[in-house]
Amino acid sequence: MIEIKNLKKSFGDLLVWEDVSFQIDDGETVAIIGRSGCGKSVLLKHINALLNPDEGEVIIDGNNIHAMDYVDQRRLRQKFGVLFQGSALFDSINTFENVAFPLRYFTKQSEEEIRKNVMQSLEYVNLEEAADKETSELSGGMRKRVGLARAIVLRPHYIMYDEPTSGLDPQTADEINELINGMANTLDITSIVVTHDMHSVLEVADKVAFLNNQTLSWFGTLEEMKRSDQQDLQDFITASEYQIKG
Amino acid sequence: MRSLTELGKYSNLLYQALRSSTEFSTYRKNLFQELVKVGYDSVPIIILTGIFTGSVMTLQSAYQLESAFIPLSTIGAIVSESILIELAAVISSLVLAGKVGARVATELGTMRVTEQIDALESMGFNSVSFLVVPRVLAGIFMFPVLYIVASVCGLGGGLAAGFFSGTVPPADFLQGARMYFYPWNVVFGFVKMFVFGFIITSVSCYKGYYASGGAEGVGKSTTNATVLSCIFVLLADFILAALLL
Amino acid sequence: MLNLSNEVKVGITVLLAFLVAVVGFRFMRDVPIFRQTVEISTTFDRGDGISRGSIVYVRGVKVGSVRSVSLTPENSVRVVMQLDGTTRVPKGSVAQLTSLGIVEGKSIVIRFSDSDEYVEFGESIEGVYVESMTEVLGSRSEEIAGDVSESLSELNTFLRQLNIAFDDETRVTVSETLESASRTTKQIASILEDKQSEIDSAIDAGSRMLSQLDTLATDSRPQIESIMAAIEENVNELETVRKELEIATSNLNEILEKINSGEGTLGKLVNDPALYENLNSLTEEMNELVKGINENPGRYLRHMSIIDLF
Repeated sequence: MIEIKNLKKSFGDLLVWEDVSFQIDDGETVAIIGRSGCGKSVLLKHINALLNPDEGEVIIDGNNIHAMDYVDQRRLRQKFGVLFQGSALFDSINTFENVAFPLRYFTKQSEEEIRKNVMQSLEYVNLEEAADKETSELSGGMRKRVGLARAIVLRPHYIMYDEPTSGLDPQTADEINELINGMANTLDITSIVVTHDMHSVLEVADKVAFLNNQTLSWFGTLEEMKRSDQQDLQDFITASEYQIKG
Repeated sequence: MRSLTELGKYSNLLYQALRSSTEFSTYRKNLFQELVKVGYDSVPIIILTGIFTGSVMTLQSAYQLESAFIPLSTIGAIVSESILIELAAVISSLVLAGKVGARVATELGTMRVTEQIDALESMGFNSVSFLVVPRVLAGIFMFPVLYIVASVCGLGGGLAAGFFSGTVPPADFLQGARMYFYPWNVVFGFVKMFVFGFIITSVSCYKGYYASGGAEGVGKSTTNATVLSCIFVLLADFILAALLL
Repeated sequence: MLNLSNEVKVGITVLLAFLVAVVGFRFMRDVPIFRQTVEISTTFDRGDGISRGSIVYVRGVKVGSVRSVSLTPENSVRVVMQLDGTTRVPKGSVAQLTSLGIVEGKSIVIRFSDSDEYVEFGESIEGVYVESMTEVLGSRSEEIAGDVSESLSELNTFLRQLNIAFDDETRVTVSETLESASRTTKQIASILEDKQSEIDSAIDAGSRMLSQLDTLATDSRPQIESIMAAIEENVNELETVRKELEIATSNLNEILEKINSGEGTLGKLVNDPALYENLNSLTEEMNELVKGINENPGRYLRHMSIIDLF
């Protein structure tokens, strides 16, 4: 369970957002939506303490991650898998090694076990055949999937997706959405999805957090969102739907 | 003000590196990789630099000291002392600031802007320990080794240039070189390279680690890293000379 | 290229660099790299200019270098030399610490002895410190400086003593003496001033007389010359007379000699005492006779008619 309480962040004089509070229960998939540059990714980085807030706290399974020392923080971070916007694959090593990377450093598994786990993760994302490819040979969608395979290889409790479908064709985006759902169901993972793709939100989310006007302007379930009468939220959804329908 | 902020961030990075330098298992593999990249891969360029530095020194000294009253061995003494004290260390370091510094800054800068550093951190890695420590250690360790290469090649190049140009016979060159060979000069050279190795790798790591702004930002960081490395190498050279000579 | 692991590459680089460094270091320190070496030591009174790496020569050939220089408890300088393994130093050889040129540094020259025995590893030979020209100059100047300072200190002492000797009383005396001297000088000066005219006239008269004399001498010149000529003539004549006289004298001398030696009548006369006696008695008798004649001329005159004689 992740509790976010009264979070405030500013870069210099520029306020990103303040008074952000919501709760993510185990097994849920929460989508954080908002316009570009509203600080969605920044909020995501506060959850696993890649960034520190000016005020407020993030409590993960009862522990305030920002109050911990660096060693404990890092241990806690291993409960998270993160799929970055640009996949953030290590370009000096191939696909297999990218996925095997956390296993090699954080587990004492034998080469055989590592191989088994890596292939299993790649199987989840349907990329067994790409194991020996260099990362530079992979397409955007494949990179996302390899990133996802790497994110789940340590069997995390939480997984965070930063713009998982951006820059992908609609078909590939759908495949990714399916994978996100698959992860949540088969691996029983709590997911946090940062996106401005309403199609993706409708596909995967249980709850929605809407960042607007430098604060969390709306939080609720997907059903509540559809019935919400908040103008800003409705405008955002409508704009997205126009986009979807072309 | 901005430079003070930068100094603060740089010091903080070094502090983190120092604190995490005990996590040897994290960076062991990277360390060897960096030792190869900084040391082994730099040997050819250092050999080339050394030979040319030495031979140019000899030819120019011979040209400048063309007098019946100055024994030819003086040229050997001048060349060997200059190489051991100054040139082997400084010229090599300036070359390495371009080669090693630029590579380090680009690597880390690219990792920063493509979120690879964030990825490492979010996996639970200590990115400083993983990326910065092995690079700085490799610099500290390998630069003195490269000093040996540069010195030997410089003296050899100087000797050979004197011989082939017919200006300084090898016997005279060696006599002068040996007469003014003080072990302290070599120690001083090692100390210099140790410091230069630290400066170049740490400055480049700092510039790369805090790069921002996409490909352009990485390019800027790389340029800054190289320029700053050169400036600080020259500055450190001066300070060391003032302190130790 | 072999596919080496990073560790191996690093290992190779570091090992090779280390080897090169050691070999290069020994090479630059002029320690033979592969050959065997011999270490012998020597002691000097002083070790100016010698240091680790200084060259050791034998008859102008480089045979090794200085390994270490240290001060011994006996206050001399111990120098350990490292020589080529092939160099054999006879026992009794002498190591000289010397400089080969004015600008060159110091080096050690070993002068071999004729001995058949050789110095072993670690043994010691005699050492002599040879002063260089500059040093000789330096030490001389030191001596001179010493002398000068000694002299100065002596002078100082003298001056101090003088100062002490010049107590107030003496000072007064000295100043009084000086005062009276100055007074005397003044008096002399005033006297001279008073008599100035007299002195002037005296000097005048003197100078006049001298000029008259001069004129006189000039006027009588021919007369004086003729007189001089006459005198010269006389002198010449005198010379002739003197020569004749000389001859006469020598003749006389001859005669006198002859007389002396009893030659001739006069000689016999002079040299025969009996004759003198006879002459003497004769004279006496003649005296008596004359007396008798005077008293009684008739007695003798009868027998003689002197008047008749005439």
